[in-house]
Amino acid sequence: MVNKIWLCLFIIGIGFAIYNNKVIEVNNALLSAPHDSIDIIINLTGLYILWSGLLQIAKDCGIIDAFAKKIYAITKYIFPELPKDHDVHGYLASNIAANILGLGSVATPLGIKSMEEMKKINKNKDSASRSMITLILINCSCLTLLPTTIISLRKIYGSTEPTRVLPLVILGTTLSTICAIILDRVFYYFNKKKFKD
Amino acid sequence: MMSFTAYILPVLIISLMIYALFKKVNAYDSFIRGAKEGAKYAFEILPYVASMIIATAVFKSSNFLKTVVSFIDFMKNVNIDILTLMFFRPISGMASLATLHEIFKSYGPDSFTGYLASVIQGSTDTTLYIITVYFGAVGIKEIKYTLKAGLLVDILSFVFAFLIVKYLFF
Repeated sequence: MVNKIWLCLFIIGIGFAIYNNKVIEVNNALLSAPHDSIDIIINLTGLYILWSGLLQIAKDCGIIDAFAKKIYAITKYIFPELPKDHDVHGYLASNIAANILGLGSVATPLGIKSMEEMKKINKNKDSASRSMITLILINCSCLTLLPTTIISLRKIYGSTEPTRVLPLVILGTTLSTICAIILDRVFYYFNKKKFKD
Repeated sequence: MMSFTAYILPVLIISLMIYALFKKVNAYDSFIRGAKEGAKYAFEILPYVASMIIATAVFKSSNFLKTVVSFIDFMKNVNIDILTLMFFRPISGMASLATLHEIFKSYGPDSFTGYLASVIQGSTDTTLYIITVYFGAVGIKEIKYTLKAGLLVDILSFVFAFLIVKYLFF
């Protein structure tokens, strides 16, 4: 499905541009987009280095382990198939905490670290495990209590009360996260067979 | 509000460093080990990020969406800018942020459309990007129903956003 969406973006984009005499714009996009993507990755690399480094310090101090034990009471309901007393609960909880605090770029390396641990638990198979899908769906629903980018943008465009949107966004993101967790269960229920091999 | 958020990271980091000192952990060595992993992640996700950015840039440059969306405009009660935002939100973080800029500029952040756009932007994330990056970084090929479920969550979130702004606020 990712493949189809990706192909459609190219086929529709270029096809429509040719039909509509916008070929020059497509050429410009083809020249600048690869450059932009490298720019973005270079910025992300620095962030990932910083946060993966700090995370390793936290792990070596035993913080992740202690955190994992405490948070297990909650995460066991969201990720029922993950083993008890495993560091992965600590990483998962840090990923969710970073999202809640509105630190999206910090959440990604924490999320990837959790994915790696879950892959080990899943015997290094190259198909997604149930808990990986749950983690991704929670991240897609963007649970956040501090939408910093939106508030600062509202300020820039002259909102009289930029933070007035806060309770609405919190309600929206909470509903979408609940919805993600429920849908995750529903899809799992109907696709149980796919996980058996 | 904003000043509180400014303290989160510095306080988190200084507490971690002091704790490491107290626990006699070689923090520098640990940092380097973690940093190597971080650099590896960034390198791993590069092809996934680049392929999505290039595809959306090509798609956006053709103006296809604007043309289609203005064609739908005959329904009148559908706001075309919100529709554009909804379309780009799961696909590209940059494109949806650019659309949010445009909406704030033309409607103002305190209008109904401005509020709706804020809630839409705030309650969902770039689904396609998260899926490709998270699975790509650890080499998962078979993603099962993730994308279907993710997009369904997005659509439901848009509905929630509309209901919240319409009935709880305006």
